[in-house]
Amino acid sequence: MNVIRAEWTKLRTTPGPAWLLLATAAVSVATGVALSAVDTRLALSGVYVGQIPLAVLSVVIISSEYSTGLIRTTLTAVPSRWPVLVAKALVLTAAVAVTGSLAVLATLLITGSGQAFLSQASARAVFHLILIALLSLGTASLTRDSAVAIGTVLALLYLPPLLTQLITNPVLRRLLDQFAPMTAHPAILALWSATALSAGTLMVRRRDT
Amino acid sequence: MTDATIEVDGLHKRYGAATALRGMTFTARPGRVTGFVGPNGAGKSTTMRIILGLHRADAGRALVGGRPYRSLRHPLRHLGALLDASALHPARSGRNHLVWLAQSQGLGRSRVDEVLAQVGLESAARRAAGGYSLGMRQRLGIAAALLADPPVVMLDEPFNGMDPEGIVWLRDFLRALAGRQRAVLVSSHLMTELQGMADQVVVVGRGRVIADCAVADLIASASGDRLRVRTSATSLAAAALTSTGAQVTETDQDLLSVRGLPVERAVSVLAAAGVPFSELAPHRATLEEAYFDLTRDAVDYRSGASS
Repeated sequence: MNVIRAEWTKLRTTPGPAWLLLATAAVSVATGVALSAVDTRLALSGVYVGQIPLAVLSVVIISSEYSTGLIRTTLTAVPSRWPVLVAKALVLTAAVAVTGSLAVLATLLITGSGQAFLSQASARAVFHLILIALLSLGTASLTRDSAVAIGTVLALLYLPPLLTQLITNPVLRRLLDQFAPMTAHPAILALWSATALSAGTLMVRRRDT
Repeated sequence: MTDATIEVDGLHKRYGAATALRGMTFTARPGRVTGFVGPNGAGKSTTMRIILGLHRADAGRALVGGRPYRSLRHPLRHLGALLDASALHPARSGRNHLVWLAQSQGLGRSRVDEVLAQVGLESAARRAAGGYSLGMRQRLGIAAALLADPPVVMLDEPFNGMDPEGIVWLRDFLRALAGRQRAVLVSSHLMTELQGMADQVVVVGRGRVIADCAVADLIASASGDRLRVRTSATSLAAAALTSTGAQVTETDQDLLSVRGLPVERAVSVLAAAGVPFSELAPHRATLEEAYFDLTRDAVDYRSGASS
C-alpha cells in the first residue's frame, strides 16, 4: 500500500503524465467524432489513435527513471523491486480507467448517443486503453530506453494491420489478425500485456541497476 | 551485532572483463565516522551499490545491522544512503521527491519538513529539483538519507559540488550523527576532506582494502619520530644535529626534518652550537601524507610481488 501511494505521488507531481492523459482523451474524442461522421459505429474507434500518447506516457513513467537515475533511489526504497512495477501498473490502470471513461462518455455525448455509454462497446474501448498502457509499461521495463520502447510498442500496434494488406495467404492473414494486439480479442491483448509486464518485472528484479 | 553497523565481508565483483572488487572487507561501527577513501575506480561506489542491493556480488556478503539490505521491509529505516545526488526527476520539486520517498516507507509528511529544515533547503523545496545547484542536490540527497532517522548513514562523495560553507556544515553534521551513536560511512577520493572528521579510515585501492585503522594511529605512524626545525642557518644546524647521530634532511628552504632526536635534546644541541632557530616542534603528518605513505607502500608491495 505504501508503494502504491508513493507511485501515485510520483505520477501526479510531474506535469508530463497529466498532459499525456489529456492528450489521450483529446485525441480519442476528436478522432472518434471525426470517424462517426463517416459511420456512427466507428465513434469509439478513436481510442486506436488516442493510444499513441498513452503508450508514450506508459513508457516514460518507467524509462524516465532509468534516464535520470531515479530508478536507483526507487529500488533502494523498495529493494524487493517487484512491488514497484505492480504499484506503477495499478496507478496507471486507475488513471487510464478514469481518463478512458471520460473520453468515451464525451465522444458519445458529442455524437448524440450518450445512452450507449453503459454498453459492452464502451467497456471494451476503456479496457483496450488499459491493456495498451500495461503493454507499454512492461515493454519499457524490459528495454529501459524510451525511444526503443515506444518504437517497439508502436510497431507491435501498427505494423501487423499493414502487413495483413500484403499477405495473400488467407490462413496466415487470419492468424495475424487474431494475434496482433490491435485486432485481437481483448483476452489475447491481455495476454500480450501480461507477458510484457511479467517479463519486465523479472528483468527488473534480476538486473544490476 | 547492533543495528548500527555495515559489515562488508569478502566482496568480489566483475563486470565483464573488468574486476571491480577483489575481496573487499571492512566494518562501519556505531558512534564513528568511517572514511572510505581511495582513488577513483578503487571500488567505493561498487561496494556501496552492493550494500544497497542495487548490484549483486559474485561472492561475499554485505549486511546492514546484521541483515542483507534486500530483506529489509522499510530499508530507509535501517540505512539512509546518498549515492548520486543527480538521481532525481528534474521536473519534480525537492519536497515532492521526499514526499514519495516518505510514503514508500510509511512515514508522514511531517518528517519531510523536518529533514528539509535540517539540511537548510526549506526555501527551495517547492521549486523543480532540475534547477538546483549540485550543492543543493547533495543537501536534498542527504535529507532523503535522513528521512527515516536511520541508525546507519552512507554517503558517496557528499562533498562534491559543495561550497566551503556547505563542507563545514556537513562535517559538523556528520560528527553530530556519530555523536548520537549512528554509524556513518562517507566515501571520498580526497583525504583532506576527511581530516578532522573521520574516526576510522578504510583506504582502498584496486578493489580491496589497503588499510583499515583509526585516524589517530594512522597519523601517528606517518608522523614518525620526526622534528621540524626552522632556521636561516640550515647548514650550521644540520651539522650540529647530525653530530648527535640524528638523520637530517632539508625539506624546504629554511626547514629541516630531523629523525631520531627528542625535542629537548635538539633544543640543547642547537643552543650549545649557537645556532639560531625560529621553530622547533614534533612533525605532525596530515591525513593526506599518511594516505600517500600508505598507497606508496601498496604500490611498492605490488611491484615487488610481481617481479
